[in-house]
Amino acid sequence: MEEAILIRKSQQGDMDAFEQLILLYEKKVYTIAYKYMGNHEDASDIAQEALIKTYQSIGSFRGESSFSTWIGRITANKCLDELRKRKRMQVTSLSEEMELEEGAVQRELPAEDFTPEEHVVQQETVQYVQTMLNRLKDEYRVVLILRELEGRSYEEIAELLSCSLGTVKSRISRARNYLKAQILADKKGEGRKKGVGR
Amino acid sequence: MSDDKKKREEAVGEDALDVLLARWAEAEIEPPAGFHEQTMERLRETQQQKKETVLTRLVRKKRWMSAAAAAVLVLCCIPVVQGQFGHDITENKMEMRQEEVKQEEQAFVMQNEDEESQEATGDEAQKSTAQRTPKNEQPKVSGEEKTSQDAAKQETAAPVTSQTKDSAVDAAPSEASFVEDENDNQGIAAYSLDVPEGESELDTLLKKGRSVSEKLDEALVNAQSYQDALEDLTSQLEDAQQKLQECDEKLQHEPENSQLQEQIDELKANIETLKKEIEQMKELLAEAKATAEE
Repeated sequence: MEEAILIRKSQQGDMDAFEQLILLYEKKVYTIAYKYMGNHEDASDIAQEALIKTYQSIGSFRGESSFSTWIGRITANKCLDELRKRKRMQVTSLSEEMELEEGAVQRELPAEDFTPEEHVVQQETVQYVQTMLNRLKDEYRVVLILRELEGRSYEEIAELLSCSLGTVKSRISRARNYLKAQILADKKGEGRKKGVGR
Repeated sequence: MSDDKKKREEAVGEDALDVLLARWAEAEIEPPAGFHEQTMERLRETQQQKKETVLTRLVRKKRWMSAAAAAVLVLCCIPVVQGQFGHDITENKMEMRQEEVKQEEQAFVMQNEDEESQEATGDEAQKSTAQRTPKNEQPKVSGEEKTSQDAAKQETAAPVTSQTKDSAVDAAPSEASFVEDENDNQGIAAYSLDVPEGESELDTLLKKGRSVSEKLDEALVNAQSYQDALEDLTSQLEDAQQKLQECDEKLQHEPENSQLQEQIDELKANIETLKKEIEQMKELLAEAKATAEE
């Protein structure tokens, strides 16, 4: 059945049509949730909430954007709300955290026994990047996700996160530097670096 | 950060990082097994809870609903209660009539005693019989009551007839009066357990009148409650629309505010529900008014 028909039926409260509709998008929704939340448990929970929210709000979908974009936006908003709820999005001193060697580490994730090369070879780049992103504090990870995953402009990110344009640029830059440092450290077998990470 | 570290980071290269991030961004992650089923189950549960919540909210928020429910309950009970009372009243009437019969019997006995005393003074037996005869025309009772009444009559009449010389003369007018006198037939009917036709029609008319009155009362009560509810709903709708307008204005300034969007969605859903309820209430009000007019 065509997507438009499924959407129309879902708008009329047809749950079977909605079930068919989300079969087309649940992978996308789950992917977004996983990239934001960094683990499968939270990703499942948030993705389900996002899909429920989609069903409840589908009546307001007017087709001004594609359904894919719309459902992606709902999922991203759910993730951001959840992260806000957890009060992880705290503004902290960036200068301290940029001290990669000396910076305070809030929480270390368990070390993974892999190198970047192995990941490339084994096509596990995605998992590798995700693991590194998970080491970032939420405020850094989120700006990077919004920029790299959703392709949003600095202005949009600033508006969405209610922070200045300078803060957004600074966070993205430092997050990227941190990732590069991590890759380098992994290459040289130095283990994980500390800093912008948790 | 030292220059050495910076150099090392730069060695990784922006391009390499971009490639990694691009791969990461493009990659799709497979949801775990059972994700779809769990989602649908959770969705159904949520919808069920939402429905229940809406009903609970309606019942809690709208006092008129509980008042209307109470009114309907009372109206439903009225016919039952009336039926019960109606039955009791009939029984009471029967008891009252039996009492009257007993009183009449006693009066009759007293009169007979008086007459005995008069006869003792030397009046003629025929004259005495002629005077007593109309008083023998007491109401006939059907069934067991009639038998007991007859027995009582015979007991009381026995002394009189024993004193009369011609008992046939005494009995004949009495029997004739049972057949000829229509007024006595009404009296007989009063003791009968069968419902007389005249009374049945009257009861039916009374019942009809009572029924119409009840229906009118019910319709008026309903109409009033519906009217109150309609006003309440209209007021709520206006409030919701005003809030929606405010939220819409806010949303224009904060287009990415998901909480505001959620609030708007809820308000829209609420407005839809209220509109439906208002429509239903209008129909109910129209029906109640039509019933009252009828």
